[in-house]
Amino acid sequence: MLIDDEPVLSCLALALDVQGAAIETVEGLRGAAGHHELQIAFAELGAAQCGYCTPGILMASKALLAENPRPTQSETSAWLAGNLCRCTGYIKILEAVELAADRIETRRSAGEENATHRQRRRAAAPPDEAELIPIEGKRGTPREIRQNLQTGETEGVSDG
Amino acid sequence: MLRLPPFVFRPARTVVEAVDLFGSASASGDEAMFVAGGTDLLPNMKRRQFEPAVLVGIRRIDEMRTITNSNRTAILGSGATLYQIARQPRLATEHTALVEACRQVATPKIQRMATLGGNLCVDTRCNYYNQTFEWRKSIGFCIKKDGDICLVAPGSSKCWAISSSDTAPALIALGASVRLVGPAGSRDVAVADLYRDDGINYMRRRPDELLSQVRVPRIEGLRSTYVKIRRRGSFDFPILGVAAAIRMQGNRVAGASLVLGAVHTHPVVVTEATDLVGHEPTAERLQAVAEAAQRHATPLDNADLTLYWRKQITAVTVRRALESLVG
Amino acid sequence: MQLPQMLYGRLLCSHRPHARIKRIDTSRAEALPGVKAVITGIDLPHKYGILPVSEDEFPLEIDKVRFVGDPIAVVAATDEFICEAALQLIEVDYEELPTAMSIDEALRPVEEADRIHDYGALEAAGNVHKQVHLEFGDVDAAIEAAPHVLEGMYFYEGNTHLALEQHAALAHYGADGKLTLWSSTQTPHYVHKAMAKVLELPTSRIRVIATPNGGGFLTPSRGKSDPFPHEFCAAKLSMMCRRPVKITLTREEIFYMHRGRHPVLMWVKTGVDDDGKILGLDFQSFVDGGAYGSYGVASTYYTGALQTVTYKIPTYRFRGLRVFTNKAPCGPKRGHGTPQPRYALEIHLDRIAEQLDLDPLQYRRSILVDEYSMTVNHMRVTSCGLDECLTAVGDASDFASKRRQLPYGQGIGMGCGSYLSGAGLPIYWNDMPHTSVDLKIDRGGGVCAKCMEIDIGQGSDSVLAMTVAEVLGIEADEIQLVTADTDTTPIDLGSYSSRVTFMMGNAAKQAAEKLRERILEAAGNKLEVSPEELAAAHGMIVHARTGKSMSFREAVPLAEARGGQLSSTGFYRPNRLAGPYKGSGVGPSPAYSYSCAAAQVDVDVETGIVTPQRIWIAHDCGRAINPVLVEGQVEGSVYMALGEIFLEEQTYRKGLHKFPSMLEYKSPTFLEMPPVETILVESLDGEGPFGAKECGQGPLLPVPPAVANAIYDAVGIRIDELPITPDKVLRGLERKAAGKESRVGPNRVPNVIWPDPIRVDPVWYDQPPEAYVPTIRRVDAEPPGSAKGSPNCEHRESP
Repeated sequence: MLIDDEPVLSCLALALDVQGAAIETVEGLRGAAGHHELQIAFAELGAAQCGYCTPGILMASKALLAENPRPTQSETSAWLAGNLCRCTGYIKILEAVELAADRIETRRSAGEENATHRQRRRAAAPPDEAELIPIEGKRGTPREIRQNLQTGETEGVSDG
Repeated sequence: MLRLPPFVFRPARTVVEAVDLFGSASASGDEAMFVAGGTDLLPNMKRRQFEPAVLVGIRRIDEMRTITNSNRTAILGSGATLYQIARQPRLATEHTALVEACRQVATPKIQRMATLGGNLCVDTRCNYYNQTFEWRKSIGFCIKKDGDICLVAPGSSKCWAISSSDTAPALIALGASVRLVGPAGSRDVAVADLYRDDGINYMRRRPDELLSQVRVPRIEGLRSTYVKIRRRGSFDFPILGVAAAIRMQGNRVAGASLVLGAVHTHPVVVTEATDLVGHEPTAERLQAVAEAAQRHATPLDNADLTLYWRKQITAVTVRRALESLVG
Repeated sequence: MQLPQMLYGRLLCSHRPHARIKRIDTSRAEALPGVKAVITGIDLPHKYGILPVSEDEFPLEIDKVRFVGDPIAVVAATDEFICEAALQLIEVDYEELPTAMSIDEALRPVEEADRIHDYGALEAAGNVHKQVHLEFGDVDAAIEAAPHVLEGMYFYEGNTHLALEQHAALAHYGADGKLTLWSSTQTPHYVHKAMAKVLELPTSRIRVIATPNGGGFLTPSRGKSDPFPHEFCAAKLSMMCRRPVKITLTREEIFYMHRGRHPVLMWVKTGVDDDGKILGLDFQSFVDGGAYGSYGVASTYYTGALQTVTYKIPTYRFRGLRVFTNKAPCGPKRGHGTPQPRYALEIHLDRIAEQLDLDPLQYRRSILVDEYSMTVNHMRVTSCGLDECLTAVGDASDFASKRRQLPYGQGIGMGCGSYLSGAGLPIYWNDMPHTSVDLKIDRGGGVCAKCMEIDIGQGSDSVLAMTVAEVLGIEADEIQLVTADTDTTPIDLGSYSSRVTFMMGNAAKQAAEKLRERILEAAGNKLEVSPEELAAAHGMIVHARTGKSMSFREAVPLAEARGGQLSSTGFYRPNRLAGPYKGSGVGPSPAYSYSCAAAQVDVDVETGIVTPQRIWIAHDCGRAINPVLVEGQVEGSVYMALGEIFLEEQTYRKGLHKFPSMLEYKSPTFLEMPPVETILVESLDGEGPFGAKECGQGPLLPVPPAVANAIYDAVGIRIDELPITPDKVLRGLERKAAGKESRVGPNRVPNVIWPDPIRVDPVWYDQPPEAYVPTIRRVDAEPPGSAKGSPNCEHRESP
């Protein structure tokens, strides 16, 4: 969790000793506009398997990106070295942090601070017909193409 | 899960208040301890290695968290976190060993909670002692807590728990001292004199004395380093710490210090390092110091990996540390 | 989880490694205010055990304790502080018994009264649990006739799962006389079964819900595949107190529950021809089982069963022995009993290649099993992508140009492996399906899939949803799942043996196909086209030729109107695969996954510290239903392997676990993980759902030997013993410098009188192996999205 924006261990923080401090846990990571980019990237890239270590890693990653918006994978490794995961082998976590950082930076430079991922997806231009996944080796039927355009999805993306 | 035992928490806002709170707890017959980051103390309490009735909180004492860097001395509040110290660019240049030590303590998150004072006072460690109450009960307890023999060296009358501070060897090599504030006033003690050869009463700091600040002299041209050997790149306590500092004049060594951590109940000063002074640091001379250092290392079978290996790699680790400073 | 009026429970565990309990007095604990109940062994006097052949555990031991950590009493109180205080008030008098803390100690003759258990291989001296001796063909003659004979000894230390989530159970015995247990288990069905036995309740009055919020990784890797004492105790206490009772184990207690990797000492002897072709393999394994049976009999067989499914082995002898020791009970961890022999075999092959001056990669390619063939020990091999895996890893790692060419201190090595896609037989003998999936579609077109499978982080929920969605042509996130509940979901045996994707996937596919047929029929009727010509995808049902279509949602009410409620059940039971001999039940699987790994390492020759630089791994998963999750499983397997290679060991000293804590049991951090290049090979198995096989355990197997072989390439020493710690490497280098045998590892195995062998005719018994023609028909896998195809779930005899 974060205490006054610092990533710390909740099991070693005495409640009495943090009176008046700002405490942020993973429950607060999802904003009014939707899931945090880190959460979206973790879900997309399979960076959470059992999910038990995920809250701590998400919060530590958030603090990392606040301090270093475009960390290299080795910088992320060094930052997260106090978080154990027994499922993922860490690789997808590094990739997810990188992806989230990219998206946050892209959004920042585009000046769309508050748009959620889902909103952007909806706003995205319809993909070219050539990009659509052919169904059973053939081009989709007109209705299927329309269906694809409506959802705007050509790959599995979930907010999970 | 393991629970903290019940205790009374008394937060202090000033050094004087902290010492007073400690004194009044003691006066009413309660065992008291200071707690800053709590990263060593609280897990030890969960395992019932410490059972204080009163914890005097010193984390929020502002005067203990400041870092001032004059031209002669760096004065570090003992409540400064390891992370805070590790981020000081000037310290990184002038007191490299300290910054390198801070960066290698435990994990990045713990470095943000753990304080410099806490790391200097960190409890000695032994894998017969750093266990839960139930485990220690099963093995019959040891001399350091609840028992009467040392399980590592059953013939010994003293406790062989290992000094496991990373910052202590670094600060000794840098010639630092600490200020201890107690009910009777304050005193300054060299970090080199802070520790005793006893795994139980391992410090000369009295329990009612608060370690309030660390003073590190600034020595022109001093280069220093801290090398830590441990199994993983994070989490682990040292199984060997090597702090070395060398000042060159031309191609000759003008000053040298070398301190080993995690090889004894206290940090071990390798006096043979001064043999380098006045000479060119040739490979042979560095090797001679490295071999002398290895003779000082007396690891026992109470930490990670084998004691033979821990002793065996002392020379190579020291040699590499020295080479990095004269190269 | 919390319920109103909930009590907390804590276990009192043995402080002695082996002792008779002379007296337990709980009266002072019971008198403590806040304590609601204290129970000891006599309150739960029925034995249980995951395998019917070794039901040797009481929830709380009654007469004796067998290791430090063996539970003997439990307290329920209004909070954990009171529990803890009460535990200190329980008085226990012990009478100490001699201990066995190693394989050697366990094999020493012992007085009958001092045995750890009063069952097992009692004809053998000491504490032998199980002895196996199987012989397929004339191994001795084959080895004797071989131009090259090589012997080796290897040791693989035990290690534990260390799932981050602690084991916890919450039981509530309601006013209706029904017990509900929420538990972090991988096997709700087996827990349900054991609960009924131990608590003497009909199964209808017990509901087990496996909590979905995981804390582990694939299959037995979570360490929660046995029923555990705290589950029974929480239930019993709730029945007594008529209040919910929750027990959360401490991290130390979880180290004691263990059921992790068995320490295994191995002896290997091979005879090979001048090209390295294996003529005979003679294998012995000595398995340190810890204090209880658990899955141990199966684990012992597994140390011998799968040697034959990767390379052609025409004659084979396996002798295995499991001992009881006064340590935490071992069980199945990722790869269940197979990473240990795989470590031995793959290093052994590297030695053969070295001796015959063969490239280790090309050598392996030259001796691979044929796909769709039978092995000498009657394992049926179907699809096998191992050749492709070897080629892919060789190319990706540039193996040929790196081996023997890297500077001193750096090296590259490789290894292979294979694993089950689900055990061919259930844990207790029966002819029923291993898994069933119920589907129901509501009138709004909403699909609900029910199955007792439990997602432990490996993504089985997504496999269930995606499989059903694929068949019905809708999106996976539109499917609602009900899982892991013995009351509301149909049977699935649990998340172990890498069985879920293969078995549940087939059941889900079958169930969905039944409904699809009805829906397409209704749609075809409405659209006036032939149902066979309709395709379902993206929520639409489309007739491609005419462009006629309707949505899935429109078709559902039409189908219900025609034939009633849209619900179906699919199930899966593997073919009868076991060979004609005792012990043949362990090893058969409807399909094997294959993997190959290469490791590049850097060895610091002054300190012995080995740093893995990069791992390449290719895994034949049949088909990647969800490639992201498959990669995640492969990477997670590599990670877990690296922990076992370099860091993790469940070791003991003075009768106790040396360091039952997360600080001293070294689990790799971000900084220990090298880059991993994962290559997925899709061999499209004929019987897997859409061709899929397992991916969660197999990829661990090739990594440890690959690293050991890489160290040999780097500095010329053999480390025949895991974990590979820097002291062992330094010792090896010193021995090499001194001109001694440059290896570190075991130098002897116990001299055991083995029982007479069970001699089994190999499949090609009366023909030379060359003449053997595979008789298994290859089944073409259907690609996802195809409109036709039938599930391979019917019961077929294997050849």
